[in-house]
Amino acid sequence: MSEHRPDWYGRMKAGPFRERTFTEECMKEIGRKARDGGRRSRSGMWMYAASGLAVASVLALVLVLQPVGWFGTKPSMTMPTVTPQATPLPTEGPKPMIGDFYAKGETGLYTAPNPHTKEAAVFTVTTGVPLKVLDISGGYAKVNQDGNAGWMNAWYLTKEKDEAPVDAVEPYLMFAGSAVTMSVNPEEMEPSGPEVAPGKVVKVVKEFQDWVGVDIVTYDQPYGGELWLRKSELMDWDPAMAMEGVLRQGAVIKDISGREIEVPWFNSVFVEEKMANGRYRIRSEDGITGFVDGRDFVPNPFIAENEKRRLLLSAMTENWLMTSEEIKGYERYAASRDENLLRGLSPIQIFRYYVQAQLNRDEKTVYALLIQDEGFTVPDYDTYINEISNDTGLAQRTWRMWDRLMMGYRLGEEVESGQATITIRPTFGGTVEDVRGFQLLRNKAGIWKVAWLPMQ
Amino acid sequence: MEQDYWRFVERFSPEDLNELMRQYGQEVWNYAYFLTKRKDWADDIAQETFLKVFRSPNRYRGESSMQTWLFAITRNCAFNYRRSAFLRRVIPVGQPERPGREPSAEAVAMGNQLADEIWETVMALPAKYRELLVLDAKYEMSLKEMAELTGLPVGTVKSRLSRARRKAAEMWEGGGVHERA
Repeated sequence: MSEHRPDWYGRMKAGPFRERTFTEECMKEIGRKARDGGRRSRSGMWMYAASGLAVASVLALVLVLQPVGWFGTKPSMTMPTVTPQATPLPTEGPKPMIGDFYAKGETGLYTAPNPHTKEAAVFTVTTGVPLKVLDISGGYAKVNQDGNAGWMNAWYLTKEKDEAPVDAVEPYLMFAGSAVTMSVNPEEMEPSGPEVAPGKVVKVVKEFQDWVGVDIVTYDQPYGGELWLRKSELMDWDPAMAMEGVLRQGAVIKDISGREIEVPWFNSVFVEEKMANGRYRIRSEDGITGFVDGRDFVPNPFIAENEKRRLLLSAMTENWLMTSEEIKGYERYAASRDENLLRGLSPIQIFRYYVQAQLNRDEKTVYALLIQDEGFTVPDYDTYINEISNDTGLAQRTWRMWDRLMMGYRLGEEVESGQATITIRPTFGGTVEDVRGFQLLRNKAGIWKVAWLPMQ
Repeated sequence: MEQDYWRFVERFSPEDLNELMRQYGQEVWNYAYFLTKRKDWADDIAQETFLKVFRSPNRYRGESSMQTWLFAITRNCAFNYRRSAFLRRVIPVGQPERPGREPSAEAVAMGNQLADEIWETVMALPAKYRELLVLDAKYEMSLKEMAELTGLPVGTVKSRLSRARRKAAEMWEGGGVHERA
């Protein structure tokens, strides 16, 4: 019936779903079943069960013998591949599983089989150490590892001691280019986690094949469970594109009528609109909507969490972010690179200028902040720029480094005559080896400048 | 792989099966989904379809396109599957419930995963219209092919299809998708 096809017919060419729903994993499963020969399919099994023959024992055996399949991405398609045992287990009450299991990667144990909890993990299971499975509920398994019991995401269970394909990685940022629904574990066919809006910032903390495990800032309800996405569903970090972050201390937030409103400066905010005049319409984590100067927005919501923790510590710790006033001073300096504008600034203030210049990819300002007095070895500007532009991944690595540090480290300032060290140490915990130092030197004019290779 | 190749396959090897799934798996799944509106059913039906193709001695003879041949098997599997569905509803299963599997959560998530808003309208059509509309719009089947696949007289296909288009157009242009089947 090809006569006058309606306009909207063309829109049906793609879809119905954006993502492939018949996945590699489906194909493998079917291929395996085809090779296995005459094994009964799921619907066959159901017919068998419905015929009244040992319904309970069939189901119990499936649960006992193939736990990972039941909790994995395709719970309905996995059949037992092990010879059934003579004594079926009951279908009611706890459903323990026989033998030792292991974790595919480090993951938290919780007090309940529910990710929507404010409670932190009570224990982190480690890989290569046997787990006893005591019960199952939904996608969660109650386990015991060395006397520590709790509920974990059952996708992590494996029978292979040496199989630990989930890697914990140094946290780094990415963002959602478009709205995307998250999964509660990798390989989930129908993502069942929360949906995030375009521009949402995620912190990657784990990797598994082409999947990444992420942390997000949640506003409406607590979420303690894991969240996973295909890496291809996210965009490489670009601060200019991220819509979620924090406001600088001292940022002035105005409501629609121009009245100033107060929002705690370390609250996370989401940019709802970037307007042509350089102002942003934002919504804070407590639901307040207002307008701010775009330069007062820092695109990294995870700094807020670190700031809150930092504030719990001594007053000796310094802020990572420039205040709203300081950023204006920085912009004046970056426009002219007039050294006189640095006069009177403390080492930590110069340090913040340097970080900001790197985040802005403003290499001229970065270079201008280096100490260039006689007697100090600094490459000339052309050599410096040349080296930087030859290293294509440098900007991303630099962003990653500062973002990671801002999310979990606190700053201190130690001054000794003409030298200063900015100490960067984990906000909580960590060892002496985790402490980094950033060197500054006072030049002949008495102005603090950054030492060449300051973090070596 | 050329369509002709399949005509000369006496019996599918595992490699053939793989190739077949690679080429047609997603459309078979989609068709199963259009018929049932259930993702989990579409998973199982697509599986059944390919296993049936692999195990069955009835080979493809090239009388229709490979896709139409597969659709006919998919359709058959879907109706068998639906028939046996009531049995599942009455058996206490103890199967782990997964978060997000509940219809309400799934319905919410579904809207966000669709490739185009038009699918909300299409999926809201009654099954008898939905299937024909999809075969026409997405797969560009002729009336004859649709009639053969569905077992309906050509005249019925034609009249149902024009009703399907009219209904979809009304809902699409009216922006309403409340008339759920």
